[in-house]
Amino acid sequence: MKKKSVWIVSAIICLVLGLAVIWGLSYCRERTEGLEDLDISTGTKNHSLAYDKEKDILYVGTHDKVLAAFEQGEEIWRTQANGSFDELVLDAKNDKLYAANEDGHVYVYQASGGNVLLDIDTRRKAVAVDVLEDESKIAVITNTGSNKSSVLVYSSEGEELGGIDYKILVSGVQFCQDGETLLISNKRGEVLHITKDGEVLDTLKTGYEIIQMIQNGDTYWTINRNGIYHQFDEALNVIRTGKIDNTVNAFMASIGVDEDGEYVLIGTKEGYLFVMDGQDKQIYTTDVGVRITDFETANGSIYFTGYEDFVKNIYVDNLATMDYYKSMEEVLGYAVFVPFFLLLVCLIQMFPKVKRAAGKLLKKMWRQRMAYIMLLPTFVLIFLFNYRGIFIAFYRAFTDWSRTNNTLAKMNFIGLENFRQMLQEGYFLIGMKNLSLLLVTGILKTMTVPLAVAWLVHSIRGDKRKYIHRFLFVLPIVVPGVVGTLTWQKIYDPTIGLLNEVLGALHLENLQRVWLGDERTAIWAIIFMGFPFVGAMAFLVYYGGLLNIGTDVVESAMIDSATRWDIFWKVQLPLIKPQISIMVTLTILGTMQDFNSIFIMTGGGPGTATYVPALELYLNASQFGRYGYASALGIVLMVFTLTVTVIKNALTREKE
Amino acid sequence: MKKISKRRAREIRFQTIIEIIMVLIMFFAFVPIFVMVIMSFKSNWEIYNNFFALPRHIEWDNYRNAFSKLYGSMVNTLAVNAFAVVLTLILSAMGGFVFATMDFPGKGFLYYVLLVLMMIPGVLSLAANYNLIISYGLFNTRWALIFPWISGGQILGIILCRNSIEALPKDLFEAAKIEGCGQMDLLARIAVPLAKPILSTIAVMKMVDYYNDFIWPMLVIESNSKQVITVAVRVFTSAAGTTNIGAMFAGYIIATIPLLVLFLFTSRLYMEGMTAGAVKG
Repeated sequence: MKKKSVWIVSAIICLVLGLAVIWGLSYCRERTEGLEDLDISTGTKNHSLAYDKEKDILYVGTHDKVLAAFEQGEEIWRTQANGSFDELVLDAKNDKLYAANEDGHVYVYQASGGNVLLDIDTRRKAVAVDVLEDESKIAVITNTGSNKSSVLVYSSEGEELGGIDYKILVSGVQFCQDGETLLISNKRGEVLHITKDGEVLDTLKTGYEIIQMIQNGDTYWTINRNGIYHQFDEALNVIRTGKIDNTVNAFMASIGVDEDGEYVLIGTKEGYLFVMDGQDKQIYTTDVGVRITDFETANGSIYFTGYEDFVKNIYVDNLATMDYYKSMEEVLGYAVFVPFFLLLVCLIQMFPKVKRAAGKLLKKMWRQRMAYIMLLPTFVLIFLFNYRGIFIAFYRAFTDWSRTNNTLAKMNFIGLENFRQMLQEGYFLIGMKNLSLLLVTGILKTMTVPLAVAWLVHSIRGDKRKYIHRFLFVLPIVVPGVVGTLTWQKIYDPTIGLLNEVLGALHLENLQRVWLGDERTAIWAIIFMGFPFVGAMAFLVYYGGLLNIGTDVVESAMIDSATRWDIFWKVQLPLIKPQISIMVTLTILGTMQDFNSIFIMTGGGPGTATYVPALELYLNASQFGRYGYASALGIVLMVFTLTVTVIKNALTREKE
Repeated sequence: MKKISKRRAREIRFQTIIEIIMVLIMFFAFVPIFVMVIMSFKSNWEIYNNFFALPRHIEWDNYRNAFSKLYGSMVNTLAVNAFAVVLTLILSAMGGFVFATMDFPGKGFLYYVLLVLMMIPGVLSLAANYNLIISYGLFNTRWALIFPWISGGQILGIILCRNSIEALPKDLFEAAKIEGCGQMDLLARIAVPLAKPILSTIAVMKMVDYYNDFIWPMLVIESNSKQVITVAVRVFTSAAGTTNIGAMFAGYIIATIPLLVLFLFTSRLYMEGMTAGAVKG
C-alpha cells in the first residue's frame, strides 16, 4: 500500500515536470520568434524606410508611388510621385526628408507635413541619395539600363554642381566627413573613394558585386551579392568582414546594422533574413517570403521592410539571447518526452496486473530486439520523410500556413476556409473538369490499344517472333518521361513541329494549329500525346494475363471451330478481367496525381485550359507559397484516390 | 488433307495481317524516337529549311554541345542514383527478412504502417515535405533526393522481399540457427543470396524510378552542379530555344542512353520491375 502511494506521488511529480517543460518550450519559442509586425499599412509593396528617433515617426517609401509617414503607428500624411521610392534620407534637425524616386526625381519633403520643398530633376532613375550633414550638398545615383550609372552632386537649391558617368552600375553613394569627397560602391565589387570630378583616390576590392552600401556613425558597410559583408572606414581600411552561411543560394538584397555596429542584419531577394552577432557568427535566420529592401535602426529596434505591405521590428536585446533560447528550445523539445515516459512507467507500476503484462511484453520484445534494431532505419526514415509530412499536411490544411506564416506562432486555424476557397477561386473546379476528361480518355486508352497489342503479340506464331515483338513494343519505355514529353512538345510546335509539317506536306494547311497555345486544342494535344498509346506496363500486364490462360483452353475452343473473334470475347477477355481492373485503377490513381507532362507542356495554360488539381497543388506549394491551401488540395486528392481504391477492392471481393 | 491446307492458308493470311497491323502500330509508337534521332543529327538550318529530309551530313557538333552542357548532371545523377539504389536494396532486404522470418510484438501493426503508405498519394504532403526538407537543413543537398527516395522506395521493396523470403523453406533458417548463426548471418548468408532474383528486379525498378524523377528534384535542388538529368534537360531545352534545336534533341538522346543500356542488358528484369507494382496492386 505504501509502495503504491510512492508511485502516485512520482506520477504527479512527472506530470508537473512535463507541464513545466511544455511551458518552458513555449516561453523559449516566444523569445526566438524575434520578429514583431508593426501595425501600419501603406496598402502596397514597400521599398524604403526612414525613422525619426525623437518623434517616433516612421517614413515608408513604396514600390508603387506612395510615400507615407506614421507617427506612433498612426498615419499622419501620405503623398505620391510617379515611381518607386528607392531610398529615403531623413534630416530631422531641418525637418527635411530626401527621397530618391525611380521617376527621375529627387524630392525633398517637409518631414512633418509632406509638402514638396524642392524637386530635383535627375532625368534618369534615381536609386540612391545621400545628404551632407550641413545640408549644403546632395549626392544622387541614377541608373540607365543595366550597366550605366551617374553620380550627380547638387547644391541645396537643386543646382547641379557636377556629375560623373560610369559604364557600370553604381549601387550606393555616401559623403565623406570632409564634405568634398564621396564613397561609391559598384557592381564590380569595388568601393571607390572619389573626388567630385571622379578622380579615384582609393579603391577597396570586395571581390563580388556590391548590392547596398550604408553608413552607420563613422563607418560604412557593404553587402555583396553572395553574402559577404564588409565594414570599413573612410580611408577604406576594412574593420570587419564576415559571410553568411548561404546554403540556400540566396541572392542578397539589403544590409542593416544596429546602432552600436554589433549585430548585422542581411536581407535577401527570396525573403530570408540573416542576423550575425559581433563575432560574425550567424545567430538567427528566418524567412519572410518576399524581398527585403531596407533596414532602419533606432532606440534598440531594427525596422525593416520589403516588397509587401509590412514593416517588421526586431529588438536588439532579443538578438543577444536568441542563440541561447534557440538551443534551449531544441533541448526542451527532446526533453519533453522524458517526464511523460516516466509518468507512463509510474502509471503502469500502480496496477499490478498491467505491470505483469507489461513486464512479459517487454521481456518478449527484448528477446526479439534484433528485429527492432534491423527495422529501425526503415521506420526512422518513413517517420521523418513520409509520416511527418502527412501529419503536418492533415493538420495544417486547416490553417493559413504560407511562406509568410511559416511558424506555428503565426499560423492561424481557419477551419474549412481553404476548402471554401477551392470552390470559390474556380481553378479547382476548372481543374476537375479537365481531370474528368483526362480520366475518361485515360481509361479508354489503357483498355484498348495495349489490350489489342497484347492480343496481337499473343497470337503470333513462334516464340522468337513473339519475343522480338514484345521487346520492340516495350522498347520506347526507355525514353525518360520528361524527354518523351519534351519531344511531344516539339512535335506540336507550331513552326517546326512534325504535326504541322505533315499537315503542310499533305496540303492541309487549313488544319494547322498552334496546338498547345490554343484553348480549344491544348487539352486534346495533351490527351493525344503518346499516340498510339501502347502503354508498356498495361501491355505487359495484359500479355502476362493472356499467357496465364494456358493454351489448352484456347485450343479446345479452336477445335470447336470457334473463330478467334469469339474466343477473344468469350474466353480470353473474361479471364483477364482482373488485369484490366488493376490497370484501370492504376490509370485513375496515376492520372489524378500526375501533372509532370502538363507542367512541362503548357504549365496549365493557355489560360486555364489544361489546369488540373494536382498542378494547382504544385503551383501553390512552390510558386505561390500557399502551403495550407496546397495541403487542403492534397487531402481532397487523397479522398478521391482512397475512394477509387475502396471501390476497386469492394468490386474484386464481390467477384470472389 | 485439303481441309488442313486450307486452314494453314488461313493461318498464314492471319499472320500476315496481324504482322502488318503490328508494324503500323510500332511505326507510330516509334515516331517520337525517330524525330529525336533524325533531328539530333541535323543543323538548325536544315531543320528550318528541309524538315523531312534526312541529315545531309551528320552534325556531331550537336552532340558535343549537348554533352558539354549535360555531362555534369549526368555524372551526378548516376552517382546519386547508384547510391540510393544500394541503400534501398539494403533496407528492402533487411525489412523483408525481418517480416518474413521473425516473430515479435507489434509485427502486424508495423507492417500495416508500411502498407498504409502505399495507399496515400505522394502529392498530399508535397508542401509539407518541401518545408520539412528545409527545416532539416537538407535543402539543395543531395540528401534531399536520397532520403525521400529510399524512404518511399523501400516500401514496395520490403513487401516484395518479404513475399520472396517467406516462400523459402523454413527449415533452411532453423537449421542454420541450430548451427549457431545469428540473425545477421541468416540475412547475409541465406536470405540475400536466395532472394537475389527479386533484389535485382527491385534494383532495376528503382534505378528507373529515381532516374525519371523530375518534380521533386526541381523543388529541392537549386544548384546546377547538384541537379539531376531530367531537370537539366528541361533547362537545356529552354536555353537552346529555337536557335539550337539539333543540340536539344541530341541532349534528349544522351538523357535516354542510360535507360536504353539498362534495358538492353536487363530487359527481363526491367519488364518484371514494371509489372511488379501492378501485380501487387
